[in-house]
Amino acid sequence: MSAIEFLNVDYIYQADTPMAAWAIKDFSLKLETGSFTAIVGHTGSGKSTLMAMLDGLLVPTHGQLRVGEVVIDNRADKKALARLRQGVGYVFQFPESQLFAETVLKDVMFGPLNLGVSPAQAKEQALTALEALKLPSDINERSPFELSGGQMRRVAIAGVLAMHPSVLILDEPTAGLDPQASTDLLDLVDELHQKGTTILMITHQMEQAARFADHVLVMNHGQKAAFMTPHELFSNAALLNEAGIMPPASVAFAQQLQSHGLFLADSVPLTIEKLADQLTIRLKQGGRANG
Amino acid sequence: MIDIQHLSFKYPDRTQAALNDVTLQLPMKKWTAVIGHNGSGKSTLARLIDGLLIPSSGTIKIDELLVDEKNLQQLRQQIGLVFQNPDNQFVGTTVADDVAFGLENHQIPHDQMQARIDESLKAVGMQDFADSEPAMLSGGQKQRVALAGILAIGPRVIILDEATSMLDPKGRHDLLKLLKKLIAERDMTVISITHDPVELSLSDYTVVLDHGKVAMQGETTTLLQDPAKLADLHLALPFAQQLQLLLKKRGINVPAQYLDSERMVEWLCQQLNS
Repeated sequence: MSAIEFLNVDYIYQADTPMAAWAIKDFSLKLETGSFTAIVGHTGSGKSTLMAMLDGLLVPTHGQLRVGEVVIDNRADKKALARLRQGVGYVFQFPESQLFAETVLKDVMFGPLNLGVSPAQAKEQALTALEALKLPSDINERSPFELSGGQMRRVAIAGVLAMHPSVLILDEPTAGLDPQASTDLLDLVDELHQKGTTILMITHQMEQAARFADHVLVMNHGQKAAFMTPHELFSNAALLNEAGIMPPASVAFAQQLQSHGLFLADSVPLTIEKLADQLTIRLKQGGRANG
Repeated sequence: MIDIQHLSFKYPDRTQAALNDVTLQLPMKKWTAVIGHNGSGKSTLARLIDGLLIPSSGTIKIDELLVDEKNLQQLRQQIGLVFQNPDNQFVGTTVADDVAFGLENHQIPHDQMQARIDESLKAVGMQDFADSEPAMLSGGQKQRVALAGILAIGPRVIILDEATSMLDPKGRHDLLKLLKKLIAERDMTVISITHDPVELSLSDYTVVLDHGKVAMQGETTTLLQDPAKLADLHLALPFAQQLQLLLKKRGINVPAQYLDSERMVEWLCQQLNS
C-alpha cells in the first residue's frame, strides 16, 4: 500500500462565503512508502496548504486523503486527526522560532509527551533524536536560546523526530543556514530517507531536489503541474519555463555547453559530480587537457 | 577607504574574542564580500563598522571619519545596514510610511520627504507598492523596501548582513542585480557579509575571516584563482570554481586562473571541439 494518497482533493479557504478562495483544486497523488518527494512551486502555489492537510491542520473541503490507514475527509473528527498526526512530523519553516522550553531536553521531550508517551520513554526518544542530529550531549540541560542558529534548527528538528514519524514533512529546512550547516542537515534528511522514512521536502533550491528526491511534485495555481523524476523534470524545458523553475546549476551548465556545440551523453547531469564525471571521461579520451 | 587598524572585540559574556587584531583596508566605491563561518566574526565586524558596537581596542576610519561615539550622528547618515530577516526591520503601516520613518529619524525637512520616498522606491522598483502593507510583500520585495529606506537617506556605504540569505533564488538574483546597478550608478561602497557564492563572485574585493582573524584578503578574481584554499576552509564556492576543483581531483589539468562559468565553457569547448 502506498504511504500517502490524495484523491480529488479540493481546499477552499473560507468556503461558502463571498471570500471563498481555491487553494487546492482536484488534486490526486500517490506516494510510495519510503519515497523522497521534493515539492516545488511559487509562493501561493498551494504547497503549504497541501502539507497542512497531510498534518491534519486543515481538512479537505472535498475529496479525501489517506496517510497509512488513516483516512481524512471533511467529516474527519478530532480523533482521526490526532491519529493522523501521530504518524506525520512537520518541520515548519524556521522551526527554531517555535522553541520554548527552558532546556533543550525538555523542548525535545514535549512532542512525545504530548502523544501520551511515558516520561521515561519520552526522555529516551528525545535523547536518541538529539544524538541522531549529532548535537553534543552537553547542551541537553542548556537553554535552547543560547545555541547557534544551526544548532537551534537541529534541536527543533529533533523535537519532531522524537515523535518517530513515519512521514516527515520539511518546509525549506536549509533556509538561512550557512553552507556547512545546510549540507549537514540535508545529509541527515537523506539518512532518514535511507532508513525508510517517507520524506516530503518543500524547497526552492533545485540543486536539492535534483540531488536527493526520487520524485518532484511541481505545484502551480493550486494544481499538480507535474509529478515526475528529477531527470524527467529537468529535461523538460517547456514545463520548466511554464512553471518558472530554473534548472540546477549543473543542468544549466550542460545547456550552456550544448549551445556551444558540445553535447554530453547525459545532457541533464543532476549533480555537479555527475557533470564532472562526464567531462572527465571526454577530456581523457580526446581532449588536450590530458593529465 | 575604510581603514581598520588592530581591531579587537570581545562580547562581555564570552571568553574568546570575536575579532582578534584585525587590520584591513577596504576600497571605497567597490563591493567587498566578507565571508567565513558562523562565529568567524563577520557580523561583529559589520556592527563595529556601523558603530553599533564599540571596539575593545583598535580603530576604524571611513575615509577620514573616525568611528566612535562622538561621530555616531554623522556615521548613521553615511552608513546604511540591511539585516538578514526581512520581517524584523519594518515599523511603518505602509511601504511609503516605512521609508518616511527613516527620513524623520534623520530630521530630513518635510518638504523634501515625498520626493525622496518616490525616488528611492522607484530606484528599487517598488513605486507601485507605496501604499501596500509591508506584511503583504514577498521576502525579496521587503528587502527592496528596506534598501529604499536606506537609499532615501543617501549613505555612502551600505552594509548587507546576509541580506539575501532568506530569499528564494529568484528574489536573491533580482536583489543582487539591483544592487550591482545601484552601486555603479551611485558610486556606493558595499560591504556584504555573506555565505552566498553568487554574491561572492559578484564582489570586487573579498575578505575571509576565520576564528576572528583575517585568513585571506584580496581582489575576488585573484582569490578565486586558487579555489582549493577556500574549499579547505569549508566555504561555498561559485559553481565554476567547484567544477574546476572536481575536474582537478579527477586528474584533469585545469588552467590555474580565474574562470567564470562562461570562460569555463569556452575552455572546455576548446579542449573538446577540436
